[in-house]
Amino acid sequence: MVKYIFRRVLLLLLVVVSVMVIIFTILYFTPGDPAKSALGQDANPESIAAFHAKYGLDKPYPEQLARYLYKAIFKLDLGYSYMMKSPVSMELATRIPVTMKLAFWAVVLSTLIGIPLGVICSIRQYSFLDSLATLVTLLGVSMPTFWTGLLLILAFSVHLGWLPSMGASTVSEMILPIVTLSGSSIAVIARMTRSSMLEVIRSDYIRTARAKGQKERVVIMRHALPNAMIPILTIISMQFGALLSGSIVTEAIFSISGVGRLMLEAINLRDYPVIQGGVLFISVAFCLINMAVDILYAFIDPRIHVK
Amino acid sequence: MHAVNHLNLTLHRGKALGFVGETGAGKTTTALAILQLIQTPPGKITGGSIMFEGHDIMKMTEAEKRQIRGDRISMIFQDPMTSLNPLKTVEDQIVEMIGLHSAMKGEEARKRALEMLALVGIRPERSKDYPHQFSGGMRQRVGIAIALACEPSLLIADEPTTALDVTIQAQVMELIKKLQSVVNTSFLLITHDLGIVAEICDDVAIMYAGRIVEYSNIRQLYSHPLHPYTRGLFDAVPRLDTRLGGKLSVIPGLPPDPIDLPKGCAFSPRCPKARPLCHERECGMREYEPGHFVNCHFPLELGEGGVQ
Amino acid sequence: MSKNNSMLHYTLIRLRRNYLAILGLFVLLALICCAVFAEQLAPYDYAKQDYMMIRKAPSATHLLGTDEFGRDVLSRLIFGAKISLQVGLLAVSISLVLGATIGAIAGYFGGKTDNILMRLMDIQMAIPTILLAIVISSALGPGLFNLMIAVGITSVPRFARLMRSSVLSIKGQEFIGAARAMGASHTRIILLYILPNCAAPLIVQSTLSVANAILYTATLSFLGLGIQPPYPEWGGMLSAARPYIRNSGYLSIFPGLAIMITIVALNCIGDGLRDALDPKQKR
Repeated sequence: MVKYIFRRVLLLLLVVVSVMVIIFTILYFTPGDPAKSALGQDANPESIAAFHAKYGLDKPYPEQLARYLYKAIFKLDLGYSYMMKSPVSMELATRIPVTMKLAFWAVVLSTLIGIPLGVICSIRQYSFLDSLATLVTLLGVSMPTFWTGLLLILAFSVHLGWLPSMGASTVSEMILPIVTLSGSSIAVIARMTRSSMLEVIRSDYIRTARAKGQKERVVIMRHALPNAMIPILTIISMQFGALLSGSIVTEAIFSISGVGRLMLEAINLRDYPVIQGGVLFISVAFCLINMAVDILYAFIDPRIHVK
Repeated sequence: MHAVNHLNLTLHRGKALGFVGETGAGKTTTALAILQLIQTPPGKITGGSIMFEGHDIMKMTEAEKRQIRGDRISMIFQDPMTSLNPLKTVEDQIVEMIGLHSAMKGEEARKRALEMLALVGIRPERSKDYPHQFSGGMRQRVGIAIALACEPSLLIADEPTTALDVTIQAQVMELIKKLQSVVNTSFLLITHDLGIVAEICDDVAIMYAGRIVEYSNIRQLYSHPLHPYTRGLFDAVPRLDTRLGGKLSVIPGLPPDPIDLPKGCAFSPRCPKARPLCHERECGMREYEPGHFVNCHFPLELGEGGVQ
Repeated sequence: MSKNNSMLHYTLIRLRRNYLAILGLFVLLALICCAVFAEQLAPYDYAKQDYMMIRKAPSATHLLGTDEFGRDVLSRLIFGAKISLQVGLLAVSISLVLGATIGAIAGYFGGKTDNILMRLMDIQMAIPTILLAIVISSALGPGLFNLMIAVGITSVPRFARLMRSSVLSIKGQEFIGAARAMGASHTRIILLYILPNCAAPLIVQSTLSVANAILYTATLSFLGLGIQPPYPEWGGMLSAARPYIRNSGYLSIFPGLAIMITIVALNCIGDGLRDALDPKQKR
């Protein structure tokens, strides 16, 4: 087990470094000069040269890359924001909590609704409820997040006036962003739960459990659900990635100053270190969740131990 | 569609009944019907009664059925590779059964589970292992331990050795037979193997297309089968005295599609003895000689059906 | 319940899924018509501004109302179908060609090649797709073509994995060995023997990916990274409607509805195709 976790962590580090190289490279070869975005289009050549020298932008690509990696890995220094004139890690640190808070509650909400919904549909396959849920979840996976957000604002802020349409500091402010974020995740998780459960419910060992005289509720909860859990967990961890990147959209709609909004601003202003930092944060968080879920598999399923 | 029709069977306490038929004849469906474990949808029992110890299982409430399942009637399934929950230790799977139907709890139930494992020949140190750590034959032993843990009065085994390696089929069958007499349970063995039935069972029922076509004790049925289908089954079994290179006789044609059963006797299209009446209507079960029932208008004469 | 009744019941249940697929197909055909005959169908020019008609609610002359420049929303939606379908189809073509090639090479040659290619795909999968699309499109700059590339690249790994696993399952079969024994080249074996046998899952994945691509396109445009005004991209239209959500809510509804209908139709077709072509594949 320890060896397995160790190997996973090593793999994670490798992936993170590769992600850093890829993002750095994409941005390096992006046309457009950050100096001009920072200093204005008609800045004089001397000040542009000084800007380049200050941030090491005059060095060749391999040197810049090596320096970035070295600083990021060994000193946890993600560079300096051209716009904010402050360390990227500081900027991220102030923005991460709100983004994580939203993503966390969105995952919790979509899991707590998605899994029971999927389970109920699977044990009442072809019932009215199942058909209705299938239709609603189909719409759910097909609705763009930003439109969900706009509709919610239209309904609950503009028409009903119940909930604020901006910010995420109070509970009432957080409701709409969290619902917006969870909308499609609920649908995705419910669909996966339903199909995974349907497959498991037909299996022989469920029949064995019933032949023992076990109560149907116990058969579903203790025998079927754990066996259906692995694909569900996988989809939840995938959703976590989608929720973190979805924060770019949600934070834009609800004017929340989290990592997503920071990145969007940085993209518009060509503030490369900030973009790199944001992508890195989201990817690392995503990889960590995936890793945690992989390790969780081994606890759920004894067969994975042996592999 | 009706997979199983007009089935009448009686099984006496402590006796073993063999249930023989080709694949798709409805043997498993019948077994699952007794336990009321037919998946709905798509399956459904449309009528009839299943009498067990004087009560009709069909009329029981769900809670009453649950008390019967596992405790009074239990089942050994065909495929041990898929019949055990992969996420639970074998011990836990036996303990679950014991916990459901007896007052034993915790340590006591665990001890009983170990006894059951010992009874089927699995060492106690393997009790915390998971199904995937066992071979097929060992898993079927676990299946037997689960089925017998509560000493049911009826044990149903659905082709318990078909999925196993040929070399251990006999071992497992012997084990079941031995434990059946130890526990003193009635035994319903579902199989397509007339040889196994002859060794183990007291009575035998031959099933064709969801119907019983012949039902009797072993001695009568093996010495003079009455139904042409039964006769066909015997002729399809290779025997030691069959001349080398000689052909086994097979029953021509295929079992009918249960969605589209032929008119009259279901076997009539394949029957060498069929006469016009057979295509018109089914005969229904009748007692041809004491204790020997057959569903045929023109059963084989006592002389002509004999098995040498 | 009588015998016939229950049979009809279950047949209907099995058909229900295909009803949805057929419905989806009709919707998609209608959308394609909109895209192809946009000039003929649209009542107005999508870029024609009319300062007398700014943000007028739906009426007989402007069925879905007018936007902040007095442009007809319906006409813009019809032209938007053209853009969305174009981007969706071309982006998926990019991912299909790249992904299938990578997957085929990895699966067919195996060993080190397989290892390197699939690790690369794994690394790409470590970046959430929409995030990657955002980074790439911000690097490439706005524009229809760049958007297609950005969106196309994101689903390359999915196609690569699918193709690889199909190739692996087919590679070992007898007829491939026979072809090799006859002296067929690697390219020939991949194109003529393996590819046709992988078609079913690829077709299903393509349909679902077009839906994804359209969703991503709209998202990027909504964030201002995709197609720029005055081109009537649905996501861009929603972005432009945001400031007016309090007074002209209808501007925030119709483009979103158009996106959703398109995606639902494509998802239904994809699910239907999967059931029809590839019943074994997991949902």
